[in-house]
Amino acid sequence: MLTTATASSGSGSRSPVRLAVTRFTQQPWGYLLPAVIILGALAVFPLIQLARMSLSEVGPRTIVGPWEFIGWSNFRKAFGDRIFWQSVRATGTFTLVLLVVDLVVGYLGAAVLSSGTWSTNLALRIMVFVWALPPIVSGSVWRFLLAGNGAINSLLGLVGMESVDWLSSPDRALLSVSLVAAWASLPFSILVIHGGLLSLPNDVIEAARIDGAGFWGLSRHIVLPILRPTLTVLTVLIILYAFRSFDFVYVMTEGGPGTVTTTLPYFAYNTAFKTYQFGVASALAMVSMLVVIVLAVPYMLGLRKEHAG
Amino acid sequence: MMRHGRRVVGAAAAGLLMAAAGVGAASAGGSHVDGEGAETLTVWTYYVTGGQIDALDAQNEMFEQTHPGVKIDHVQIPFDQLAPRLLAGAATGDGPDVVLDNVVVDFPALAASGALLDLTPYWDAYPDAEQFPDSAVWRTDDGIFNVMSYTNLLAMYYNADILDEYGIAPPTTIEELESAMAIVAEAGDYTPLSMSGVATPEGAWMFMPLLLSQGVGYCNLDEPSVEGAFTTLQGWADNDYIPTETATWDQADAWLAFASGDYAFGFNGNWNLGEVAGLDFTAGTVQLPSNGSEGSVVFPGGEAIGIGSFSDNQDLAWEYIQSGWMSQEASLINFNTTGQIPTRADLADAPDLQANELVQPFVAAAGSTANWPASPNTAAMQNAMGQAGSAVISGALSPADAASQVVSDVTSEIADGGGSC
Amino acid sequence: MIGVGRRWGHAAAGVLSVVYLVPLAWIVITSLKSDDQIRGAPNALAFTPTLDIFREVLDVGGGAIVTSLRLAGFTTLLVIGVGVPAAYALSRLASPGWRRLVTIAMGVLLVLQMVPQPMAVIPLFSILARWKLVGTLPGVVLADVSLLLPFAILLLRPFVLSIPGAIFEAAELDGTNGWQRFRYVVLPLSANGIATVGSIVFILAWGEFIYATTFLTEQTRRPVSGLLAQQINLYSVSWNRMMALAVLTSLPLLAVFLLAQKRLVQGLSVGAVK
Repeated sequence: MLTTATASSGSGSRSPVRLAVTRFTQQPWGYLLPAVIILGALAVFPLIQLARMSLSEVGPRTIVGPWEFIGWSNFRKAFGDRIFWQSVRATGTFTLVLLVVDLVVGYLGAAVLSSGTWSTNLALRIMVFVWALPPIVSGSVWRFLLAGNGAINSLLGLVGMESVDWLSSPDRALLSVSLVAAWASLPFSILVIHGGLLSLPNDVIEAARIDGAGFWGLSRHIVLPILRPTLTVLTVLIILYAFRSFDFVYVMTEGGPGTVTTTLPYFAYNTAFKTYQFGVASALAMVSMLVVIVLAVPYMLGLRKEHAG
Repeated sequence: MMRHGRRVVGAAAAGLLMAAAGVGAASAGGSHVDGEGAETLTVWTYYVTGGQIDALDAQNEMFEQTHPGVKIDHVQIPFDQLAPRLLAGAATGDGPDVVLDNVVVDFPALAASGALLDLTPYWDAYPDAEQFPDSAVWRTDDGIFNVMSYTNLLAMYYNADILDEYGIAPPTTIEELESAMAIVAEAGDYTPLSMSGVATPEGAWMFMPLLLSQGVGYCNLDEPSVEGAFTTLQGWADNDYIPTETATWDQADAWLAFASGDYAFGFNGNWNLGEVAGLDFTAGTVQLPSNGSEGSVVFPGGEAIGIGSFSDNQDLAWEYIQSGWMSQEASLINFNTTGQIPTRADLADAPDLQANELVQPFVAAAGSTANWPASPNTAAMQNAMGQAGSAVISGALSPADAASQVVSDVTSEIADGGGSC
Repeated sequence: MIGVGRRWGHAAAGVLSVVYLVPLAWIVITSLKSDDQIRGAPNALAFTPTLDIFREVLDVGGGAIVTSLRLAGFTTLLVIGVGVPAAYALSRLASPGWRRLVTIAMGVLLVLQMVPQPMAVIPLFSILARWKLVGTLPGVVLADVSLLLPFAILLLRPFVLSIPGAIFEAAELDGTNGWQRFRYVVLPLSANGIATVGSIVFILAWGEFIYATTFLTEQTRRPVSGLLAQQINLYSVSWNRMMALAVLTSLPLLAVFLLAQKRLVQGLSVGAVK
């Protein structure tokens, strides 16, 4: 354990600096300190400002000026907006699609791609390379591919099917955008799970295989339990992403048709930077934050159960 | 392997030091004097297309020639980041000398933020001030913060080859347009109309003329009129005059579609005039068809110019605006390079403007524009209208529902903003 | 490894490659089109390719790549340098008090990530302005670090956690102190995770454009992400330019990734450590 006093690493003169460094590296908080300093200096102030704005009147004319405290008004306005509830539902769908694709296809994909053959290595590299493309680029590409006269509809035409309005049909637009976002985030998921798979204890797996376990048995009883911390973090990160990212919505449909693909983060962005109602937008952001915290509770509870050492 | 940790930490420390060594580079914005006594004015725009940048370069060159010792530094900012950048800088005293902003949407926020300088003293002393219509001078109670030297307008392009094929004359009213579109749709070889119906102020800008020609604007919306216009729009979508995708198309998408040659008509703006020559069909222009008694009326768009509040060289910046933008010479350079219409009244009959046939409908449109709402919540109002139009085109909302929603949204935004409109 | 047959591997590799290569192909094809071809037939497959647009973007793209490399590089170094020890501290649960702190800290990390990036720009701007870092590279690096550090810590933690406790006990018995355990046990055994997370952070910093364009306005120093964002505006989009820039500026990313991916894809033999 970190706090156990052990023999020092060297004899000789103990300058105060050396003493301090030793103390820092013995205690867990020493390792945490740099992160605390950086985040405290840079990340906390925006958070405080966000909270303040959500409780104040910050509109087109008062962005820079003094903010009048108005209590819960912004939240009330947000909850009273029909687009808000629609965006919550849209975000739910979006999140679900992301989770299903990234976790299920992600696990299967990572499992299959870790067999180390030349083809799987190549596929992995291609996927990560495409993932590195900015959403502006990949979102625009899919916008063209899914256009009325785009490649996907041309393919459908080849097999005799009719063209589909992928991004402008009220029934299909949200699913299309969600699938593109899932497509874009899948390599990340596979990469993370793959990293976890690389650290699996080979001897345990060998032993189970000798006992006759197949892929599904291995997965269920050995691999997935070991991967649980990784998968839990991945789930939390995916939920986080779904509730804060709006790049694909913005590039592909700008929230439309109508407000069908307006997810909560897009709604907040639009409210802030297109209509300049920062107070309401901050309230929306705070609500999103709350939702994510609530959804992450299982994760937080799981933290307490982790064994020390 | 064992040394990996030390290497990571060492590299991190080195990185920090090198990063720290990078401090000391000049900060952005503001004018400064360099060693030889030359002054530099920083101009922010979000210009991307060749035409607008070419015009800016030509105007800058003219200004630099007549003002030796002054250099214009053009900084391009991505469209979405220009206003936030100005707002962020407003709180910290950071900004450009001159900026061209998206005035029709961003004006209330920028004017109130303190990012722009009050131009009233300059404007009052400006001899040419009376040449400019009220719509070109953007004021709030606290002063004048933006002025427009040019405006961009909407009109209707048509594919002359397709029209000739079906023996259609360019329509001047919506009824005529719909009969023409019916003929094209019936034949099935081409799509009748390309327009923008995206759920943002852009889509609203293109849809509003249907109401403006009935004398209905944002400030006097009434449900029956709005529902009527939405029903017209829905009819176009149902009859396949416009593809469903119109609901997510912005102006650029609509132009791309029209330019492909598969569309008979296209609602679009004068900024694309420069591309007409390169099309592989003959294109013509005509004013947007009228939907009512007021004739063809549009909202004037375009960028407006302002001086940054924190500029060290405000007088020089105003001189630049005067000579490099608002003057007759500069306005004509701009027009001849990009087709953007000068707002100056004394250029309305200029030979340059009369010479180009294609630009005439836009010049005519510039003479019959509606006033943008003066509410601080103008952006929210336009956004709501765009969302409603997009919903109608895609079928997400019925014209009646969309009309009642948008009228109530806009009315409450006006009330929220203090009632002025 | 997990008993998935080679044939499944090849099949899956094939399917995934196609699904990810098709958009890539579209990007390359579009970057080879001229302005006229884009206007006329943006989705056409048959056309005469031209390198005109590449020539146009080459010099501005080159400068952007340099800026992006420096930006992403320093950001990654700082994030990993600070994040790995933090993840370590938050995974070794020394005492009940510390355990509670860990839960709170994780909550804080989640909350910090939910501050929308465009809204954090304005407060961050005033912080950086106070330290005279606006318009400088270190300013953007710090902004990116504040954005990516919580994410990195969250992602690094499971890798550190997966080191079996027995190894730590053994190390303790050997008489090592905290720092030695960190250096000789934690770092090597979580090297996979560090490389993975480091690559991810690099890629994210490379693509980040909101902070990059707001805190750096000089034209010559604009990073790749800002350059791409610039291709879209109210009046038009230059698709071929954007795609050409995307191709050009992904190449160094590809190179960096190829360097790092050996560790990612081939892995280390954990057995040797035991």
